[in-house]
Parts: sequence; structure tokens; C-alpha cells
Amino acid sequence: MKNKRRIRIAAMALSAALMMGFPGGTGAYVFGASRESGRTSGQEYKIINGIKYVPADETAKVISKLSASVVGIIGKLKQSSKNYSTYGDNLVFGSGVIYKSNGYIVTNAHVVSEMETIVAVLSNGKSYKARLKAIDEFFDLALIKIDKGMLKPAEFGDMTDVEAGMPVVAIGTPLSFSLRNSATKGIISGINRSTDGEYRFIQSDAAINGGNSGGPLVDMEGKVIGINTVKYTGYGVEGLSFSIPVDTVKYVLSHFEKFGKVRRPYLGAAFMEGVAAKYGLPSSEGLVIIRIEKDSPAEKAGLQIDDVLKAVNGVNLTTRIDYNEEAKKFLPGDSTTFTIERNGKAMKVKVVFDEAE
Amino acid sequence: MRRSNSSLGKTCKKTFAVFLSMFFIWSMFLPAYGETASKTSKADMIITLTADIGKINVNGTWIKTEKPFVFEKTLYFPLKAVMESLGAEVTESSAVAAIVYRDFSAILKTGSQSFLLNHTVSNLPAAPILKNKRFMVPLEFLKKLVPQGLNVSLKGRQAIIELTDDGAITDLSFLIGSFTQPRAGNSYFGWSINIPKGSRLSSESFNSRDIVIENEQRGITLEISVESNLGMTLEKKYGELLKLSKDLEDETFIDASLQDKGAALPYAEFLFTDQYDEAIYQRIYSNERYFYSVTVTSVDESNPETLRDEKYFKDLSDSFRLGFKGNGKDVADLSRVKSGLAVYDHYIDSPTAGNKISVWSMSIFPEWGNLVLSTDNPYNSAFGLDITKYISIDTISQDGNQSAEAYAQKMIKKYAANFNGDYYKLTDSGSAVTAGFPSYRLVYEVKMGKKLYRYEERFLESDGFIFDITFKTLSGDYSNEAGAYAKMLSTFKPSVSDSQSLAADMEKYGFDQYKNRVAKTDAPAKQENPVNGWSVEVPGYWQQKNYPGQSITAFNNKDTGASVLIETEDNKGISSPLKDEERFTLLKNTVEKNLTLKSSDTEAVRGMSVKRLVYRVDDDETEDYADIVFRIMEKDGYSYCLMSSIPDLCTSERNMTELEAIWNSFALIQRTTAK
Repeated sequence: MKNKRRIRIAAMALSAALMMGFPGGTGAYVFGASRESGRTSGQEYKIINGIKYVPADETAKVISKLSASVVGIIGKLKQSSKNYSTYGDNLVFGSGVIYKSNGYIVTNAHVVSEMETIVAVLSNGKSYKARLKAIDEFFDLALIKIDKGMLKPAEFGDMTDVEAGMPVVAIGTPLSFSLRNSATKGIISGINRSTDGEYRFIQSDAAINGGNSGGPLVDMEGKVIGINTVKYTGYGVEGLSFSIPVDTVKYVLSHFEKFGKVRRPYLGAAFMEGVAAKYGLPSSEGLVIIRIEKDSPAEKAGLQIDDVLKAVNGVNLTTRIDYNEEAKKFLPGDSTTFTIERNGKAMKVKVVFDEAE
Repeated sequence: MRRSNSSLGKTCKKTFAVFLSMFFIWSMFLPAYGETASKTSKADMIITLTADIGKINVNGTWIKTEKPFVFEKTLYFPLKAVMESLGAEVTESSAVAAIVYRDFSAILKTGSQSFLLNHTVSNLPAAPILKNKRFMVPLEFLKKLVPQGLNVSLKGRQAIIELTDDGAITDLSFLIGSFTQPRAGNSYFGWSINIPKGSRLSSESFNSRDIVIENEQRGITLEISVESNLGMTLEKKYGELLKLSKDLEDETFIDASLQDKGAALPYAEFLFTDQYDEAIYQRIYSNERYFYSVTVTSVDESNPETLRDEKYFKDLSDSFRLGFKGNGKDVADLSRVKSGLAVYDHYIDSPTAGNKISVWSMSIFPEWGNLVLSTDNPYNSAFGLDITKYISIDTISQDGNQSAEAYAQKMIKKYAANFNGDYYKLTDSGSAVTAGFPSYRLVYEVKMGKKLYRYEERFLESDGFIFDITFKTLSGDYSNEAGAYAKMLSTFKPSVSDSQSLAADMEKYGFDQYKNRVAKTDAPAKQENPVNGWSVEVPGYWQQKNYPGQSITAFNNKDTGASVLIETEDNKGISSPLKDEERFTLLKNTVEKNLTLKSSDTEAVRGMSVKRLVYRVDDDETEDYADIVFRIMEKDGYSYCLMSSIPDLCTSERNMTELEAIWNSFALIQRTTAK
């Protein structure tokens, strides 16, 4: 797989070099030149026309590949923001990832939700005014648009390729806007992490700081596997960074594109997690229904308080985040089967979701 | 990963094939593309499209599209592909296409030569055509949509679109407050001044009356504030400020002088150091309408004389000019005034929402600043020159959906019950239209001291709230000001962004107010203070406040401004030899204000000898007009001072009876020792 990808990149670079009229301009890729390649001390090298070329480090390649797709986002706070100050500069900033070549950029909702005027700064230093196209505070994702074409969109990966221990790179604008397109490296510490959020996160130890929000977490193929969102801070706390997984990002973006917002299925029931799940311990307790809203899909389906929801559509649940993740698979109006336990007896209940406001 | 020689060979063959085919296609367009590119090398993007070729070339990259075509001598281009390459937002349906591109928007319809360009009808030489579900549009459209920064040229069946301005922002001053001009000014208030290089606009009031320019790297802050001079001369202002300067808490006064002889623009100057030992140099200028305060502060200087005398700083202060009217490219105009008014957007901190809530907006006279009429009501805002002339806006929860008229009628009754007819007269009431909303209007006159004021109140309902807008001005001034008031009033716009949270906040505020009442019911409730040995009966809707260190308890009626304060002193204490005027804090404070003693007598009340002193306050600046009554008595080794007052306006029979009843209920009780 990797070989094929490399070959394709080489071919494109060659065609481009010739088309742009740069004979020899790119050095390494002169058509028809004599070539030799090998490895010294684990480092790949190529000898072309007698000159030894050492390819850049993999990390540098990743950064180089993705940098043009990462933007700094800066704006002034709205007067309605609680953080707005009459005497401050009211500037806030974050990061974003170019998602489509015609100027669509994905970022965190919390980066842009309180910005009055949004400005995106490309890696080449050029600034463009942006419009907020869609935002979802629950997923903490937003889509902004600059009117600039032929941008280099980032390549989005797949969570099935992500596993603990994988090296990753975070790119963004930590702490100061002058540090935009800063890169840090780490490994995936864990996936499917539940923090205080509504959905699962990727956990890594790639250093992220304020301003990294909305920037990409990328694998060593340069594919975006997450959007950096939050980190734990405190005395003695180190290397706990969290990113929204790329699958969630894709899910939200697909809703933004189709509906202009995330259409969330509404059940009308509140759940309580088991004590073990609350402590993060392995559990098969399921979720206890503690409240059912009047005329809600939950009530219509005959769910009752103290019913224990064990599975949705055959997928076992132990936490509220499990439920939210499962609910992502449905649209309002969809129906599914809940496996519940009532008075110690297992039952199956058909539920038709409504639409959340 | 090392690549084998065989795979390299395959790659080379494959690449060569790609190259050949690319070269073949490329050669078809190379002359035109190359020729244009060389002429316009500064173009950010070049798009080349040719009739009947199903792809467009964007900066050398080929993009498959619906084939452009020529029909009746008009070249049609694939709208979505071209516009999206430029970076536009395009949505197409079978009949309508909408385009948003920077500041431009357009709506096109198939079969219609006319289209909407920025909401205005414009025309194309031919109607758009739908081909394979894609909008094909005459090339002319591009010129109309983007009249500048986009060149479109046609050579036979080929069009070249050059984007010379890709919309990148070169001036970020709107974001960071930096200046591209060497001077800043305000065309409304008519001033301008040099700006130290590298400065930025740090803050400005909604009306741009107060401007702060900071230069962090030089450690300089430049503040320009304007206020109406109300006919006061610079000399008089100087004298007034000089008096105040010597009593400042945070700044140390160093020097001051009036530079009114020889200076091109006379000014008064003041030199201070602040609490951080930073130098401050202030000049006050004047013209026929305003005083201008120009203050230079330096964090690096501790001697304000440096700011006055050193060339760099002196040149800065000397660069101040009056008469700026918005002319001149070298001056950044910081005025926020439009059509003689400045927009104020009113936000309230909402504990429920955890954020600020937008409530209303209104355009205000630029000379008017924020006034604080009520220190504890977050739902009141006021603007004016001073308390003699202002506009006040109260936001009130529309409890039980009461109408604005019902609320106004309630206020009429309240005023009638609280106000003394010698000072208050309702002159008009009835329905009115306010800023496009049906509303109810009250007009009344109020006598304060020797002045007669006209109040006009408008009540209107929107978003589940009642807005009570009050204008206050001198009766004699009203006819001249009516037009300007009407203009200001017409701009009022309710804009409650989160009515649920605002209503919840107001409910909580009401509850907090309720908690402060002395009793749950309105009837007089006995308030006992066994530590100080007295009791008194106070209406339940009054509020209580204690001043523990001074043995003072205060009761007040927020609606009328009536108050009763009781102070106790131990006759064995160190203050016992002192005269009453020095012994009782309440009386001491009154005497120190040089109020007039109207009467002094002694009467026998409930078995005690009570000294009764009546002082008179007539303060035009604070508009306090009232009698202040002190009753001083002693019993069982303790002395008591009961002070009561009510503003003249609220001396209705009911309120006076209420106040008298409180005094009549005052009794001395068995004392307990404080723990």
C-alpha cells in the first residue's frame, strides 16, 4: 500500500516538474537520470547523477506535506462574549484544517463561536476573511469558508488505521499567533477515550497548547486522524492531549454539507451510568433510565424509568458516551432496537427517533 | 522503504506515458496560456477554458468540467467549476444558482437574462442554460460579479480568466487596531494628533468620545477624551481641575499651569505620577463646544516633566490639532458617529446563560456618556450630559403578560401615591408609536429645587419584556430638543438574544430584592435590635442594612428614597464627652456638608426628652432636595440618634404618614449583651 502511494507521488512530481518547465530544477527527479538508492544507518538515501540525496526525516515530510493545509484562525471577540473586555484587544485565535480546495476549513467550535470577524491565515502568510458556515457546540466542530480557490486540502484518514502507540504529529498555533504552524510529535496513548465531553476522543502525548485547538493530529502518512481539542492541565499533569477522532469529524462534516447542521436523533430519556463505568472500570451494567420526557420517542416506545439500556442495535453500552456514539449512526426518523432489562428480564423495544433541537 | 530497480522501471514507463499524454494536451493550449501568463505574471490565478473542451486549466492543473460552448456568439462557461476554482460558494438546483463570493452575491435563473447581483437586478447578454444538470453561464457574468481584480479576455473560442486580486487582506488594522496613517483623529469631535509609530487602538467608547492608543513597545499610552464644556471657560475648568488634582487617590499631583498666552492653541497642563510611579502629562484644550483632554503616560518615565519637555514627547503633545473634519488621507478617522448619533449595543451579564445577553440597541447623542442612576439595578441604563438631561432605559420582565399600557397605568397610580402634588404633575398620557412599536406614553413635570423638568416615559413591549424609556430635560429646553429626541428614540431596537435566560435572571434578581425586604408582607413589622436596645416598626417592603462597626442600622424604601437610620452610642464610651455633632456619625456627616440648620427644638416624647434638629439639603449637582430630621435622646446610659429623610418629590401624604409612623413606633427595649 505504502509503495503504491510513493510511486504515485513520484509520478506526479515528475510530470509537474516537466510541465512547469524546470529541467533539473527539482534535482532528485530529473527524468531519465541515472539512479541508485540504499540505506545507511537506517537512513534512506538516493544517489542521482553521482549526488547523494538523503530524504528528509519522515516527521519533516509529514509536516511539509500538511503545513499548507493548516491555517491559523484569528478574530475579535463578539461584544456579547463573557470574555469581552472594554479595555483589552479582545483577540482570540486557534487553528484549522483546509478541508476542501475551494476554501472550506474545519476547526473547533470553541475557536470561532465567539469571534466577531474571522480571519484565516494560510501557511504562506496570506490572510483572508472567513464566514462561519456551520457549527455544532456538542461536537465542538465548526466549518468556516474563505473565498480562495485551489487550496491544498488535507487528506483525512480513517480510525480503523489508528492504534495506540502510533507516532503522530500535531500542527497548530500554540500560545501565540506568531507560532502558527508549529508542529509537535508524540504517540497515540489511547483511542475511544471518554473525558468530560459528549463523545469519544483520541488521547495522545503530542504537546498541544491554547491555540492548537482546531488544528490537525496527523499520522505519519500525513493523514488527518483527529482535530486537536482539549488537554488536561494541572500540577503534575503531563502529556494528556485529546483530539476529536477523524470519523467523528467526517460524520459532522457530512451533516454540515447535507443539512447545514448536525441532525441529532432525539430520544427524550436521561441515563445514569453504573458506578463502575463512572470510575472508568470495566462494566456490563448498562445505562439506567432516570427520566423520560413527556410525548418523547422514549415514552412512545414504552420505555420506563429504571429500565436498564444494555444495547442499541445489538451494540452493548456502558456509558452515556457509548450511547451518543451509537446514536451517531441514526438520523431523526430512523428506528432501531433497544435491548433493555426491566425487573431482571431482558426485552427488546423498537424506538423511532425524533429530532433534537 | 527502498524501491527496486524493476519497480522504478515500471514507474518510469508509466510516468513517460503520463508525460506524453499530458504534453499532447498541454501543447493544445500552451501558446495562449504561455502568452497570457507572461503578460500578467502577477495574477494569483489563471483559468483557461476553451469551447468544446471538457476541462479547464487552473494554474496549470486540469479540472474536468462540463464543456464550455459558444452559442449565438456567446461563450458559456461551467459556473460551478470556474467559480469554485476561484473560491466562491456555489449552490445549483435545476432552475436556480446562488453564488457567494467575498462581498458579492448573485442569484441566476435558467432562461432568464436578468439576475440578482447584490440584491439588485442586473442583466446578462443571454440567459443561463442548464446542461447535464450544470449551469452554463455567459462569460459576461464574471465581469459583472467581480468588476475589479478579475480580468476576462476572449480569444476566439478560448477565454482566459486572470485573478489579479485573490481577496487576501493586506490591512489587518480592523482586527488588531494598528494604524497605517501617521495621525489619528475624530471627525465628529474635530481633533487629530500624531501617533507614535507602532501604536494600536487599544479601546474606544461606543461614541468614540474616549480613545486610548497604546504603544506597548515604547511603553506609551495616549488617551484622548472629549466632554461638553457647557459654556465653561478653559480658565474656570483649569481652576476646577486643579482643585480636584490635589485630592486624587491614585495619582500624585506634581505641577499644573495654564498656557493661555503665546500658545497657538491655549491649554491647561497637569503633571502627575501614578501609583506605579509612572509619569503622566495631561493637556486640556477647549473650543466653543468641548473640552479635550490629551494624556500621555509612559511606563518608562517617572518624571512627568520629561513628557512635557523632551522633544519626542513635546512634539507628540504639540501635534494635537482641532478642526479635523475627516479630510486628509494621513489621518485615521476614529469617529463612530453616523448621522449625528452613535450606536450603543446594550448587553447584560447573564448568570443563567453564563454569557452576555444582547438586550437592545439605540443610537445616542455622541456627547452623552453612561450615567449610573441606579447602582443596584443591572436592568437600568442611562446616558446623558449629567443627571439634569438624560435618557434612561429600564428592561422589565413582562410578568403575567401584562401589556405596556397596563404597566404604564400601574406607574401612573404609583406616581400619584408617592409624589407630592406640589412637585409632580401628570400633563399627558396615551397611546403612541415608539420606534415602530405600539407603546404608551406618559408626560409629567417635576419640580426639583428651582428647576422645572419635563419627563417623558415610553412603555413598549417586545420579546416578553417591557422597555421603559424615559427622557428628562428642563421644561424650557424641550421645544428645542424635541426633534433630536424623536430621532434618537426612533432608533431604539429591542434585541433580546436569550429571553429565557434574561427572564430567569430577572426572576432571581426580583427574588434577591424580595429577600432584602424586612418582612414577607407589606404591613409594618417589628424590627428589634436588643444589642443596641431599641425596636421599631418598619413596613415590610422596606429594606434593611446594618453598619456593625458604627452601631448604625439603616432602613430605606427603594421606591421613594425615604430612609430611617438609627445610631446608638454608649454614654460610658470614649465619645461621651463630645458634642452630638461630633459624637454621632450620622449628624457629623451632615454638619460637615455645611447643610442649613432649619430648626432646633426639644420635645418630650414617650417619657424622654428628644432633641429635634432639621437640616435642609438643596444640592443642584446631585439633585438632592429634602429635609433631614434628627431626633437625639438618651436613656439608661445610652444615647440614640434617629435620622429620617425623604426627597421633596416623594413627600406625599401617604409617605409622610408612613415615615412618621416609623418614628412613632420607635421604642427602647431591654438590652442584651453582644456575644
